[in-house]
Formats: sequence, structure tokens, C-alpha cells
Amino acid sequence: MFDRMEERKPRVLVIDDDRLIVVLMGAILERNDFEVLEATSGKQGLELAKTGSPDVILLDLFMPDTDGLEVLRRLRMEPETWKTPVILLTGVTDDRYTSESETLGTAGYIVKPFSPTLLVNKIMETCGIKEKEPIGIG
Amino acid sequence: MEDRSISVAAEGESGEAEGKYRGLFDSIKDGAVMTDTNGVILDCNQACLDTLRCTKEEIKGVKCARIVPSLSPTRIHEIGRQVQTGGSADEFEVEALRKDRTVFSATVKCCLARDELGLPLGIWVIFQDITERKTARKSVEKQKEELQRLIDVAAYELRQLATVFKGYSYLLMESGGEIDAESFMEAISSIDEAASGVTHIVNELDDTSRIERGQLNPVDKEVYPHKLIRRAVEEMRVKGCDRDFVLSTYADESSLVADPEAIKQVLTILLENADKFSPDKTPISIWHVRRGAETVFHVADRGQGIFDEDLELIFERFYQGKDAMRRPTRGIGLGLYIAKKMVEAHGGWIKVELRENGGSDFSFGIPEIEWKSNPAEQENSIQGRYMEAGVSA
Repeated sequence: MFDRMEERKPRVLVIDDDRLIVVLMGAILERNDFEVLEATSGKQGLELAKTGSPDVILLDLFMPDTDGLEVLRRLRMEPETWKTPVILLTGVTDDRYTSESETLGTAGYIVKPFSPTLLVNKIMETCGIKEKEPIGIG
Repeated sequence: MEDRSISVAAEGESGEAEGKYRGLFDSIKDGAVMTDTNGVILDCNQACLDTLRCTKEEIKGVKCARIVPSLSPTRIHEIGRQVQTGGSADEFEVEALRKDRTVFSATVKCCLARDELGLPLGIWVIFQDITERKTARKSVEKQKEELQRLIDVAAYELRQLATVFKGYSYLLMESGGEIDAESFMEAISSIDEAASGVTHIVNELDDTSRIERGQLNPVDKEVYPHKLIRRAVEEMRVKGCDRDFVLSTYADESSLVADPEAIKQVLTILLENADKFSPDKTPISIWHVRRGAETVFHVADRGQGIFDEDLELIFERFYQGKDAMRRPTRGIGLGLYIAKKMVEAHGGWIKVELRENGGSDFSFGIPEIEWKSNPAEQENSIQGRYMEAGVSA
């Protein structure tokens, strides 16, 4: 059976080692009618990326076991995930990381703290969904 | 009769010139060496002898190259060519050897000495010991690196926490007050946790600032180690830690003289550290023992252990392992540094050892001083401990 995004809610995989951030992102995205998969490590994220068929991946750049760039490299090597759009999340503004991530191919780069509305709109744009009207907050 | 007046006058003038030369040569505060055109030392000044810690007899006839083994033959040849053709060589740095084989860093300038006909007579080598300057430069660079690391890590941590505040503000405001109780409590709890994170960072920075300003002033009292351990564990419970703590205080209810808040803070730092780096469900052991003239506290876990190269560095400011940004826990890497300084303010020591079968054992010792009922006697006793440790109290 086909698992098409039109027949279900858009599915977002959140990969971040910070539990507070993962829970928060889940709450924000579920409020905006997304289905959310959560991973608190790169290893867990890679597994869910292959088995969960996310429409877009939100990926934290700095994680202790397998960092974001390494996760991105592996995603781009796997047939199940090499085309899945990845939006990078980071708390660091360092050109060294943006340049390599651009080489590997990303759908965007968001620096924390971010506006939840802009994040939601970015995901919707990536999934090809019409953007929400700005709420006026965030 | 021979007319010796001219030769006597010439000898006199020569001696005067020699004296002036000697005076000038010895007055140079940097090391000065005169070599022949092959680099063999003919003469040197007192500053040179003082730096190299040798006598004139020991250095005359020695080739300069023997004193600077760090220079390759190719480089020496290049310098010699610069001097011979251009009259001087660009200033350069070397590692030089003293007579006692100790090494010092120096800057060196060379220039050609010519006779009255303009022919090469020898080479002047002027050098300056820059070991202290180089050490100071390295120290400044290290401090700059540490500051950069602090800024990077603190900025990252604060961005993470600001994300939580911003995100939950959005959710709560967007809900327009229509939010179920469970979601509301989850939001408030997360905001509270993030606020605790910010407080933690601010407290670490404040403690470090006091340490750097020399304002760690222990307030000594008679305290009971087993009670301090219990208080530290209770504090962990209040913070929401539900891990098993194994307390082994034996039957030792002896007291020691120390700042109770400082010791409790050290214990809490070590417990938090153990909690952060241990897998869930593994216990943390904490105990104290009297060993000779000191009380030693231990906090031991079954966590990931510590890399050999980190064992010494782990108590340094801002150190969080090989890559500070890729760390498994929140914090800006000041906890163990603060713990070390607080222990040292008591004249004590702190260290970490790897445990058999995995994990780490952090221990610190507080030297004992007798609790005296007379406040003046007590103060003298405390000052004595600090003076022995070279710490101001």
C-alpha cells in the first residue's frame, strides 16, 4: 500500500540529543498537524529515518555519539534516505559546519533559538505545503 | 737612542681604545659574542656568560653551531651567506643550550664586523633570552583559547535554553488559554528546567569569577562529613535525581573543620558529574574515610570512565573533553574546576582514578585541623593550614 503524504499528516523526524528540545519540537509540530518521530541520538535517528519514512528530517548538528554532519553523510549514502530533505538545527554559527552541510545537500539551516512559526513554515515549504499565515507570535 | 715616544703613545692610544671597546662590549645588556667568519667564538660579554652559565675560557674556541643545535646546517649556511653578502641577517628565534644542557629560547641578530679596510673581520652575534616572554605569550594564548571556548560553549548552551523559552511561550500564547492541564504542566515543567539550566550557568560563571578574583573565602566550622554527604544527596533528590545512591559512611561520625557549604558544593558537583556521565539505573557510591591527618571523600560511578589524556585536564577551566561542543550533558565545563579550587582553598587535593570494571572514582582530601573552643586559637590554626597550602583565606 502506498504511504503517501496526501493521505496522512506530513511526517517529521526530529533528531536532537537534548530531550527538552525534542519534546518541545514534538509539541510545536503536533500542534501544527504534523506527525512526529523523535530520536535523541544520531544512531536512533538513522534507524528511524530508514524505517519511519519521514517526509522531512530536523537534525541537530551537535550530538555526542554520532554528530549531525556524520548523520547527514550516512543519510546521503542510504537508498531509503538519500533524497529525504534535511533541515539542520544548530546553536552554533560557524562557517565550517555550514559549508560541509551545503556540500552534502540540505533543505535549510536554522539557528536556535528560532521562531516556531518560521520553523513550521520552513517545514511546510520543504514538504510542498502552502505556508501558514503568520500568527504574530514568535 | 731610540725614539720610543711614538710607540709608547701608540700603545697608550691602543690601550685606551681597547678599554673603550671592552667597556662598550660588557655594557651591552643582551648577550654579545664575537666570532670569526667560520662562526668560532673569539670573545663574549658578561651577559653572554651569565645566560650560558659558563666561563670565558669554556666558550672561547667553541663553534656557535654547538650552542644552537636547533639550527640545521642548511639554515646556518643561509644565515652566514646573508651576513657575508648583506652585512647582516634578519632576526631569528632559536632554542639554545646552556653549559648545563638546559634549553632556553632566544632571539638572535648577526652582523658582519669589518676592519679599517672594510674586510670581514668576524661576526657580531647579539642574542636575548626570551624564555620568560615566550612562556608569558603561551599563557596569554592559552587564556585566549580558554575564553573562546567558554564563549562558544556558553553561547551554545544559552541558545538551547532560549529555544525552550521561546518555544513554550509560543505554545502557551497560541493556545489562548485553552490548554489541557497535562500539556500546561509539561510546558511549565520544561520552562522551569530550562530556567534551572540558566541559573546553573550563571552560578558557575559567578563562582569562577570569585575564584579568579581570589575571593574564595572559606568560613570554617566544625562539620560532620556523614551529614554533609546526606545533605548533598538530598539536594540531588530535590533536583529530581532518582538514581540509587549508595552511602557508606561506616560508623565514623567524626568531625572536621571546613566550610560546610563549600564541601557540600564540591560533593554536589561530583554527584551531578557522576549522574550525568553514568547510564541510567547504575548506582553511585559516596563515602568518606579518615586517612592519617585528613578526611577523604569519594564519589564513584559506573559510567563511561575518562580517557587517559583527560585525567589531568578534567579539572581545568572549561574543559569538557576532546570536543567541548559534542558533550553528552548540559553545562559549560566549570564544575570540576570550581570543585578543585574549593578543595584547594582548604589546603586539600582532588583527583580522579579509573575503577576496575569501569567507571570513575573522584576523591578529595581535606587536611584536618583541631577544632578549638577558643576562637583566637581556632583562627590561628586555620591560618596555619592555609599558609601551608599557600592559599589566602
